[in-house]
Amino acid sequence: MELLIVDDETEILNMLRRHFEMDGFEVTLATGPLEAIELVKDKLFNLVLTDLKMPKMSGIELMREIKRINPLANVIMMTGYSNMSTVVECMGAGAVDYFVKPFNDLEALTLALEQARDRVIRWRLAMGANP
Amino acid sequence: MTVADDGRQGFELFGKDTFDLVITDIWMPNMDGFELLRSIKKINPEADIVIITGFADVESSIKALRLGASNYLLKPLNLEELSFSVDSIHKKQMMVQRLAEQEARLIQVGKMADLGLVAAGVAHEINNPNAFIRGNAQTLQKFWKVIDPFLNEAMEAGIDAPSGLDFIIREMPPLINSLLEGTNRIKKIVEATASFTRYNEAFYFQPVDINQCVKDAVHCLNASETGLQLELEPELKPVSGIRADMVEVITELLKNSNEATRNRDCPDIRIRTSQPNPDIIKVEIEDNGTGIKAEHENRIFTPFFSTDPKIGHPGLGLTKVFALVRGFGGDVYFKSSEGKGAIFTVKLPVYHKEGQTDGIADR
Repeated sequence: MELLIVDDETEILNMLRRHFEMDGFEVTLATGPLEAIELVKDKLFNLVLTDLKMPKMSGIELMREIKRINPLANVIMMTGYSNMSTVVECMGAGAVDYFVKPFNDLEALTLALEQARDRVIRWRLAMGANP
Repeated sequence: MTVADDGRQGFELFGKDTFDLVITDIWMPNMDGFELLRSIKKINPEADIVIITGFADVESSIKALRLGASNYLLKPLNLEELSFSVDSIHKKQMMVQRLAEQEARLIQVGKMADLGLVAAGVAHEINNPNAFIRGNAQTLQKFWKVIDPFLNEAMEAGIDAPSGLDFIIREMPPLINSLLEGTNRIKKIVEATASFTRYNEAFYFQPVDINQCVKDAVHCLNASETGLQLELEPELKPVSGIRADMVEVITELLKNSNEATRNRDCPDIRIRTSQPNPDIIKVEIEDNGTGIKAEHENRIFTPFFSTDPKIGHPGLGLTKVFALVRGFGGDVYFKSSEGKGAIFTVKLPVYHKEGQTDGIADR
């Protein structure tokens, strides 16, 4: 399953790529929201893992834009900040999960991605598409 | 009260002790009142001096006042006038002292706010590198789980292994754990520092039962046996804030008292709650511990300051207390006598339905 990861910190991107490629995901990296939008226009990523605070455009705005292009996309947020208001805002805007950096356990993130992946597969099956 | 027979003796005595007030005649042998006034003011310009004289002349009264006398009284003395004068000087001195204390507190609060911002900024910058170190360490652990059994099998099969490979195989898991432990410690420091930036969440403030918070904190620390006494005023109005953070405030203050009384034979920690007026709830945590050294008094709320630096205890506990309480619109301060104990007072605003409460810090 294709996974798009967006973060302005390249070392975070590399770290996550290593981890999720090992888990069997096909990983594409974007260092910013604008680059991510171009990638999503080109190829409908159903799984997106994005940072929340990035220059030029926030993760929430990016998520809205991605969902406008591909309503089936499952977006998971990650952020160095955790407070109630941002969690509520992200979930309200349609994020399927929310993780705080640094990750206590990357396996929990894998689990969330696998759940999202299964959801996408079920939707596709329900719509009669080829999963 | 100390008495001197003439100006010179008066001046000598003044140099040996601290006096709040000097009452002096003008015409005296050895050193007259003006000379005494001038000499004392040289040592302590703030000293209060009342001049008493039998000669009522305008010139000397003006001279006395110009030299900084607080008052100028005539003989025969009207005792009522004298005690009124002493009284008002005393009041003035109290006010000056209070102002000085307030000023010191304001400077301290300003410093804290700056330090808080710096600390939060540094914490934020550290968070990202820490996130990828931690993530990579976890992935390394995952990779190692694949390599480890393969290498072991190969070793058992008798491959021509480079020297020291068995050592590497043995040391790899603790090495990775050490990386994870290090990042975990950094993470905790960053999290504690992040509480400085929680100021603007008044929107989420809820009515909080402070007595319950005290009980929860005590329960959390298993502190019931350490000579702890709760004097909780029943049916207090709820305070405004975030419950979990309120428990944390009490917990940190309790930890502080526990630490201070650690070496006492009979540790005595008391937590009192009360409502001194309709808008404020007061929590006092008093201990008979080591107290706070005078030179530490201005620093105990400062981030990363600790009187007993220990690994894994970065000295952020009281800073967190300060930041959270100020964030709730409250105030926290302490009184301490070194060697005898300390009392921390937290004042919190009572919750009002509209949610917003005025800060009580300046009251």
